[in-house]
Amino acid sequence: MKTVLLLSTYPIISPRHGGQVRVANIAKTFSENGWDVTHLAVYEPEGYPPSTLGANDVKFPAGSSFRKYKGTYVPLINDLLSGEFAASQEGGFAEILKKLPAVIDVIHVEQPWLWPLVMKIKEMPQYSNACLVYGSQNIEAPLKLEILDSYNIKGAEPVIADIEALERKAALEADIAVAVTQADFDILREWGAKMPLLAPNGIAPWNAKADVLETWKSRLPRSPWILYVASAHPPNFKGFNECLGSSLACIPPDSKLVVVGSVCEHLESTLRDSRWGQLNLSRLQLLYMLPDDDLDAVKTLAHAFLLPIPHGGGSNIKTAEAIYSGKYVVGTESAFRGFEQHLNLPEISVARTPSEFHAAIRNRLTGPATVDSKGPDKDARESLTWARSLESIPRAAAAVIEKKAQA
Amino acid sequence: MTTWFDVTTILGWHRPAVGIIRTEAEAAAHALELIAAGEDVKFCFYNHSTGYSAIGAGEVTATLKRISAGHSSAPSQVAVISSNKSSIEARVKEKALKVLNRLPTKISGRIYQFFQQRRVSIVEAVVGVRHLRSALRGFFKPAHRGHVFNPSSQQASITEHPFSKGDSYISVGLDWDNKNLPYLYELKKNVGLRVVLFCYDVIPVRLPHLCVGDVAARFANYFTDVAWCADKILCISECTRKDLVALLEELGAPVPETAVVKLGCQLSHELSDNISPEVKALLKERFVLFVSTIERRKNHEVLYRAYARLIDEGVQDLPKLVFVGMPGWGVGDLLADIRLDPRTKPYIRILNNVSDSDLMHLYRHCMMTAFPSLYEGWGLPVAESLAAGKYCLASSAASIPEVGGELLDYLEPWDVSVWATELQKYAFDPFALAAKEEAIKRDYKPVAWAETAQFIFASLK
Repeated sequence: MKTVLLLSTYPIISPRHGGQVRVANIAKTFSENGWDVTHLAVYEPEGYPPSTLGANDVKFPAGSSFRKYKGTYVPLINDLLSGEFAASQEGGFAEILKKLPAVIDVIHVEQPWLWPLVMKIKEMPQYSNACLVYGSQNIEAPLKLEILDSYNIKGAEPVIADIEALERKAALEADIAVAVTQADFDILREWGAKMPLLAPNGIAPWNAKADVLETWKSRLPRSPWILYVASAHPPNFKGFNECLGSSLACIPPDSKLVVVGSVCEHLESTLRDSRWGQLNLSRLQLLYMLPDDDLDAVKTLAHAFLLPIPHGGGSNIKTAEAIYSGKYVVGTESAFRGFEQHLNLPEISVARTPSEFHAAIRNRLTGPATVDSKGPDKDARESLTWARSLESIPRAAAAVIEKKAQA
Repeated sequence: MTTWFDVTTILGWHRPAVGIIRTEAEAAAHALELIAAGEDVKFCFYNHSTGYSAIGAGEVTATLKRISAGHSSAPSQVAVISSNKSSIEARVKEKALKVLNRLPTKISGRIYQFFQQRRVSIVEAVVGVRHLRSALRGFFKPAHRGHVFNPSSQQASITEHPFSKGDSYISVGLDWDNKNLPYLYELKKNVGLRVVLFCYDVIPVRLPHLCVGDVAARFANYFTDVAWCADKILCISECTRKDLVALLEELGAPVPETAVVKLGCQLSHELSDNISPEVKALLKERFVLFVSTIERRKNHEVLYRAYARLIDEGVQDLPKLVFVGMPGWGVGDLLADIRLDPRTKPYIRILNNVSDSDLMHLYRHCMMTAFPSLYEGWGLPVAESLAAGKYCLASSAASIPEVGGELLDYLEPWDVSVWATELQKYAFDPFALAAKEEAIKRDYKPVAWAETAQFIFASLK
């Protein structure tokens, strides 16, 4: 049995945000294809309670001197700083070393942050022949710049330059560089990746429980409504007004924009503070964070999905879920990045301006449902599942190992 | 298929018919004629707890009689809405970072680090406060769960109503106060009603600073709901129609069919010989008449300033300037100036609670009228002035030029000089004024309220 060491900057026992979900599914895909998987996270303890941690996870302590960037604290870059911490003897490397399996055929690292750790492990003779897989969830430098800018954090240029250098290094040194979108794939290839691979984000098919469905039916609008599920990741709310023109007048009086996830409080604030605040609040139903069973029911009951993501790299797992649902989907071009092949489906609307968003939402919320009680044709949407979207990774890794063995 | 005419506003009105009330009353009177002619027209009214109910023609007739027997009084004002309550937790992080970024890096970094280590507990505390607040709100006001878990706000049942599939529904009243449009929308969808609603103006959204309180957000909600409910919206001027369509497009609401309906401009009462002493005294003098609520938007100030300027320039024997209307919001300083300014004191008169008959006397005897309003949905006093055969010094703003067409010269409402010049011109050039009056008498076609009412009902076709 081949062994893969899977590295990330967050635990995956209870995946919530998109990055966790993707890594958890990579682990599952390797495992389902007959690999022995060791996952190790170098995580920020202030962000993850003990119940969410795996046996191999190593904390990046809040008081660590590695939390400083060149001697000063810079907000929102602990992911970048975790790489140096993990690869340093004064940092977490000694503890990490204890958790490594005896044999490693493949080291798969998601996002570039822990690439220094990958190289450190690779320097060790027993692991020197390991195949290196770099999973690029996004092109991180421009995304980080956008996030830091949105919080008005000045003087971040050296940080951004370091991130880009790290990304390029990972793409160049990895045996396999995985992209989630065609655009990211093209960038990795341009950077000189030896074997760029496209493995988009996918979804885990969901089946709502009947009793939970009934509960939510009574709490949600009787008329068709549109759902937005998102985390508090800044691109998920910073561009909302840009997409919708600060107004939810496109939602009928008896309907709502139903919002789930940690984006709720940010979105409420964004919409309330606009000129049309009272109108917007009359069209908003916030459900905040929901347990999986409830979220499955809410997704099942939705008439349409909204994807108002004007910027940001990578591909959106929520987009995959929305497309998989077979319901109406209204989103930006950016939101469909990585899923361009589905854009010709009749239930999908791409909107480029507020007026296109408004027209599409009005049209969808006053139109008939797209799917009957049997749900969408799941066979036709099989390609959207994690099992299909990620299966090329273990296959490519196996081919690299074989090639190395023959060399 | 029945045509239902909503009389909710006039049923609850106990003063004379002005503006919107007049429109509803005149349309109701026309509906009674249609009923008498055998048309399938019925009346309904709305109540927040019971929804829509039918009401007989007899009760509507009695209501119209009660209103027409009333005496002049002041129009009501738009109520101040409560501002949206803001939650503090939503932007704590963003605001904290913005504050920290103003501090030196060494200090801000340490503070950030301090709070970063306590992030989970801070988030838990904020969530706890939010749940506590929500729980308290739910406990003390169980019917007001807001937007969080309460998708449906209507109280009345949509199963009990007098309407049948294919019926039509017309409302021209004070719907922002008296109706629940989300309820009407649901009813329309369930029953299959054809709905005709009215738009008098979009001033609360377009010029909220000239209204009482922060009305823009509230009325944006109202106009959006009107757009979702109505198959057709009747607007009282082309300007109002264009402004409404532009607003709905900006908001992203649907834009239903629109049409322009001209409001009637007849003064309904016969002239009475019983004239109040104050008005009787005025009738012996030369005066310029301005009929309107005294509020900032109506721009009484430009007339006061124009008079003051003419007096300062040594112009003598100016006609009196008579304001007829109730003092409203935002004019305290202006009224104090008018009361205390020795230059204009001999000229300016303010009359309130003037009867319809006295108003007709004032129209008949004035030299001319003035209407310098900053914005109007229509401009009824201009139409009334023309119907009385009187020239009007009218503002060029918004819909006002639609009222008088080529018969009037329209003046920039903020330009004191031009108002002073035109006042002086017509005050002392009887031939110029007579020429204008001649053209008005020859060319002005006043709109009868019956025509307005007929148009409203014909709009269903």
